[in-house]
Amino acid sequence: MNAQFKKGVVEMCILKLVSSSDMYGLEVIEGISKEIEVNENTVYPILRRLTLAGYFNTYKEKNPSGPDRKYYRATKEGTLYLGELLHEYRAFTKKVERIIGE
Amino acid sequence: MKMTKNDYLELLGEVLRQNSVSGEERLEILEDYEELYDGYKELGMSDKEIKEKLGSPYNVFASLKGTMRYEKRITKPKEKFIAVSPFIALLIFFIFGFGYDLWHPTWLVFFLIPMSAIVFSMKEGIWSLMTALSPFIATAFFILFGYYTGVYNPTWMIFLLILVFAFLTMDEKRKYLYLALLLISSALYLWIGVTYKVYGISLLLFLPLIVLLTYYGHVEVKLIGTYRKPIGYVIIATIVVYFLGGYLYDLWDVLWLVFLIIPVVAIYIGEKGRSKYLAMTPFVSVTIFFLLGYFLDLWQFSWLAFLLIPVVAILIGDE
Repeated sequence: MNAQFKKGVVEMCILKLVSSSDMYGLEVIEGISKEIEVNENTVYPILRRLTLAGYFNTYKEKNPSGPDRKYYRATKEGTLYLGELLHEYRAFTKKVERIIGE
Repeated sequence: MKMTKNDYLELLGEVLRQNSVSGEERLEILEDYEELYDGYKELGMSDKEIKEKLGSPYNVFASLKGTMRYEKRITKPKEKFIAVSPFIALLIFFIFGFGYDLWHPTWLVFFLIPMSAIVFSMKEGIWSLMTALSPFIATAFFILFGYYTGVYNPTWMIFLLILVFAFLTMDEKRKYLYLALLLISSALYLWIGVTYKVYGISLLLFLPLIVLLTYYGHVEVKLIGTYRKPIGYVIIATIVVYFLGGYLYDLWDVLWLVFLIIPVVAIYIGEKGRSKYLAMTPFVSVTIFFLLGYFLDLWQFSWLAFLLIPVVAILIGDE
């Protein structure tokens, strides 16, 4: 799969996961890699970018078995952005399906 | 080599620092990677497995490039000088080459590039600086003096200057003994050589110094790199080839190139990844440049061999 296309899709999946519930870095990575083959160097930069863009907030939470964990929480802008991405993606895949389905 | 969490994070911090990533951001990334590292540890992974999972710190930096704010870097005048030194050298080379047909030995002006970098970047004392500069000074003197007088032997003794500076940087008191022995051996060697024209066997005069240095652990055949190949044998082999070729075929003025094999082998064994080929390129360029110029008198074209360096750098990319 084209790397840029995959990154775009992974970004959308990360937004979706974090919008469903607050998650820490490794949890996001594990959640994504259960379904899609990705590594940390794909997921972590996206988490950073989305945070810098204001789509995520972060906060620290105590971890009983180690250092504090940084949790990501989707902001209102993040939820809106996810809605846009999902809309575009569904419209796009519908068109693609029409072409390749024939 | 086994890399622990601390080693990994330390290297990552260093890579970020070298690439001017701001302090605050560096800390943030390090904290995030520490959390990931600990997370994988909790899952029962070994350091090796975690390193494979996270990727090398260089790859981490490469993947984060687009998401970082960089510190504004102020270019200091000395850094500017280092940056323009290749152009100054090339200009001088062309002026003397085209103007006076002195391609050789004007090419020595290219030594300005590494020399200016050494002068402006070394923070150690004067003797360490001179030790680093002495190979260039000695080579330039050897080639210039040899070229204009035809006397390459015993002009090669100028390379002993490297030893003199190396001794002066030592912390131990015995350095004065080494220096005295070196001066006495050199003086005797010169005297016997000039008076009786016996240079070959009188090299044995340096034997006491070598024995003493070996006894105190300053001369050893070191095994370096993961392949455990002995670089010491290469050094000995190049010295043997140089003196044999010099005495038997009077090739003093060209055989010095064999000494470039030492850093090339050291880089090949010691460096990892494709970047080692880039580190070797300057030595290959100098060899091509000198051989084409020396044997075919193509000095005005052979400088193009130096373009190999940026070409290889582009081909290898920013690994």
